Amino acid sequence: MNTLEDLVRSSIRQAAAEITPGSIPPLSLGDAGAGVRPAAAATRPARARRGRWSRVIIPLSAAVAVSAVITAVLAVAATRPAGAPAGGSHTADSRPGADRRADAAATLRSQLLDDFFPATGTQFAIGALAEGTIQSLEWSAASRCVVRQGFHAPRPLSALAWARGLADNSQFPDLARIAQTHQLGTGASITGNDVASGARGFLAAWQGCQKAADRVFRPVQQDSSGRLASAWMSIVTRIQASAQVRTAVPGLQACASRYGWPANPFGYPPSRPMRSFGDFANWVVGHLDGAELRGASPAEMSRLNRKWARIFVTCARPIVMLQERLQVAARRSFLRQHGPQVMAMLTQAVRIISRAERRYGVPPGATPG
Amino acid sequence: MSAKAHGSAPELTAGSGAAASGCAASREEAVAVLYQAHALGLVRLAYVMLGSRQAAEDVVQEAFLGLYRNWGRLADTSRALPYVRSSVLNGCRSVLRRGRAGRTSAPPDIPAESAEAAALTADEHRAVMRAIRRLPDRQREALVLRFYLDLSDAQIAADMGISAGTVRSTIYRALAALGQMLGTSS
Repeated sequence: MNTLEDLVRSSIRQAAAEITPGSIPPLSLGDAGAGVRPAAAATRPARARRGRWSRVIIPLSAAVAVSAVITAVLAVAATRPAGAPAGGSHTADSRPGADRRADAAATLRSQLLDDFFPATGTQFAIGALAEGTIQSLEWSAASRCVVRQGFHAPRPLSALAWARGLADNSQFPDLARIAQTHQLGTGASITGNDVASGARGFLAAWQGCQKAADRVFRPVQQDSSGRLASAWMSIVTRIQASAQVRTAVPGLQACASRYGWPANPFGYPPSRPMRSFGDFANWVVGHLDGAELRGASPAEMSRLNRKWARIFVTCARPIVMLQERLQVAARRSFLRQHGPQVMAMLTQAVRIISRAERRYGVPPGATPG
Repeated sequence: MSAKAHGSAPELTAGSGAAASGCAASREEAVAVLYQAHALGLVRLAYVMLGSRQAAEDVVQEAFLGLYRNWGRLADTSRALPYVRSSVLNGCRSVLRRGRAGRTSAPPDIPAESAEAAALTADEHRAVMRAIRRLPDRQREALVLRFYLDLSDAQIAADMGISAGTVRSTIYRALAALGQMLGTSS
């Protein structure tokens, strides 16, 4: 175990110890509902903020940006040493459908590039599709496995369903999506509850099957891939904390002030002065939480979503554009520096995923096609 | 520091507690006993996830209410603790997804220029927690499950609904980001 892991472990435990024995309020069951304290109602999922557009906008934005990503991949390919393999085995595949498979592989490759090395909110959303593809295939493989053991398959989950839960407004906000959808929410993450079947022994079987399925994809995300992705995320973190980006925070605060900063209807006062983009993002979302807590109607929530999504995009645009400009430039440099490793990593990932798609592409219970 | 120094985590990962499985116990009694035995650990779990005591208590109350309402539907009441722990984590995700708690009530961010110094002061644990609270939600959750509950990759994957490979890469990214923020290397 290394020093940082020890430090993290002990720090988390020390923080937890701030909650002392005897300080926990008694359980209030009431009559299974009436006993809920008012504040607890705020923990309900914010379904009112999830519109149907949140279900389709990621592929739309992905389609718009895919050509740019492919350009980036080609730029990486251009740095490949002479004699290195050009890509997956699909390049020599002359069977019927080879072109279609090559297109799919190229799209997957561009998604994977953004999955490992996102520089913008749009790229993050595109990358989430690759992540979603992997998760969906693992899900499908694990489903087949539990069916072989006599259980019913969990409901099938698409790559898009997985991808929806992966948006990150605090680090890679997708302003184009928010502007287009007028929605700050992105939909629910998939959780362990999605596999709940109620059958005795199911969960243990599922976990065993998932572990086996995971082995198929482990090479995609470990060792050199993990180190490269981690190195990239360190660069992003450094950029977002840089003096250059911090110079944009006062402007962000000034814009927010026009809309009431630091007033917060939810009750947690934001830090003053504004210290980061995250402070702003939390403050904006806090207005929607406050309204929901007060029992705003769906129509009112829709109106507030439109209002605060517009404010979010208006105020965030300068600092997000600055961050993204710096991150895009850094990514170009990073990919140039690590081009051969990145290409090898993408090629391997595409090969593994394509093979898994052929094997597990149609999950049990799903309608083919 | 020993992992057991503040040990509140083990009771959350042990098998579900005999109190919950007694056939004679009423639903109310079973849930109340489970709450008495595990509320502290669960509130601590939610607290390190959210950074807000009030929000943590609310999430745990809500989780036990859910358990109470759904008690009759539990196929195996010995799984009550994993069920309620999963509910607490889901509640935390709901809160974090909307940015309601934690980050706004957490101590101020570490200024970038003092990050290295912060890691070396007597308040280093608080500095680490501040840095952890600056991580993306998924990274923070993975760290808490790994370093607080000591769950395996497979268990974290099941709790978070992601692959074990993604668990590893998420933790890897989180540690790298922490190392960057704290001026140390992982």
